Amino acid sequence: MAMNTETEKPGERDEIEMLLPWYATGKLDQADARRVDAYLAQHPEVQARLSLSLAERSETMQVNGPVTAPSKQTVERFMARIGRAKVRETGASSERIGGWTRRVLVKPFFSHGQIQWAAAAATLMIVVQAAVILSLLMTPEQGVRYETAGGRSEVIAPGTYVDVRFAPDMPLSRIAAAMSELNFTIAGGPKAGGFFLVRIGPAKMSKDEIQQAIAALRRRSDVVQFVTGAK
Amino acid sequence: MPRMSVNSSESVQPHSITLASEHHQRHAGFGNARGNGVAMEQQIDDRALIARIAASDESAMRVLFVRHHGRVLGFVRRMMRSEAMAEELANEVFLEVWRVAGSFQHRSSPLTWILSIAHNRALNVLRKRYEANWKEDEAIEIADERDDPEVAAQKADKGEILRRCFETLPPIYREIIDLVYYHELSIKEVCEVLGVPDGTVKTRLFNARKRLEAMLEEAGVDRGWP
Repeated sequence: MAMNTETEKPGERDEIEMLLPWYATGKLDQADARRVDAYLAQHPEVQARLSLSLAERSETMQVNGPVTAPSKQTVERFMARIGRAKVRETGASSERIGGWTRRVLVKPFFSHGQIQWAAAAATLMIVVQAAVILSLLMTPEQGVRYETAGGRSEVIAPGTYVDVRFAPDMPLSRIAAAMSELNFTIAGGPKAGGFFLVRIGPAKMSKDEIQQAIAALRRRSDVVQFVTGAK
Repeated sequence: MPRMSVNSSESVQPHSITLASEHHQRHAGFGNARGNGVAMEQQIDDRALIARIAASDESAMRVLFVRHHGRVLGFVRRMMRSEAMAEELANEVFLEVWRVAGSFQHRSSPLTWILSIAHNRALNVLRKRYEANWKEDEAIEIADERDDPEVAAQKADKGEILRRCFETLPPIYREIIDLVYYHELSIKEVCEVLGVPDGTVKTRLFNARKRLEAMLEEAGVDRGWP
């Protein structure tokens, strides 16, 4: 590594040399970039080191070549794998719930038809419980806590919120435009069932204001598929 | 920043791309002009895409795949040195994105997150490949089975020798050089991809460059550094 001069802090030159590759790509934060600028101004001989980094960058670009878009077959093969994974996950998940219900809760006591009904009822109960748990987590005055589909728990700013499911094939640009026109914002999500949390106004809104906001959302049926009551 | 290769003159700005149309446009081929504002637009779009993927939206997955497959494939190809293995690995990376999109924390950019998945996957494969004596620190000692740079020195210019030396660097050094120079990640982003602190990132790149320099010297090229 390079030697330090008498006027430099120990290791200053080493640190600057370590930063040069990022300086060459313009990816240093402002403070470090200013530090390198100042050092280069005082030590012109280090420009030669910078030119080494620039040469390395140029050759790395050549070695890697351009990024190419995947072929149609590659995309379709991958999407087919996604489809298969989706089927497996759905199957495994319903098998897990249904199988457990059958084995543990109902099999010893009921006939096959009764088992199917009981399993469906148990599944529904789980969904209802999840909804109740979700609503218990809501504290509109201090902010709203909710859980995403991935199981993450997040707290967001105070306000009045509704859950919205957007039309599945809707372009993002149209969803964003619609929310912007209504002066609403997407605050979080997705939650289970593909719902997004949409802020429709401040924490304190009258019933009429809430109803009007929900009605405005529902009128955008081109974008919005389903809206829940306000939280 | 690497550019998407272009098959025709049709040009579409990323911010005007819709889920339904982007797939078609990608296959039709389009230019990928990337100013900072446009890159930001794409980043916003990537975050929205991942949100939709977490809700099992296949069309969003298709867009994300088309958008980043080339870059991920290139990244793992350079690690694996096997086209078939790289193809499979890239697909596995995107399958993992599909499975764990709900756990994306929004602390890093989506691309950094995807590259970190690719890094971990590639490292796992390399570990298996060298299972008998794998240690993280020793990974840098794994020599690549390529021609000696000296062979290239006999007939190639300086740039070509440099490129040949890149190719013969150990995978971990090649990886960090690619992440910094080709993928143009910041120090913080490289830390996120590799899962190591910034001191390690800086030292690893420095050592990679030093190794490169030693190889160049062996090949008869003295750049006067370090």
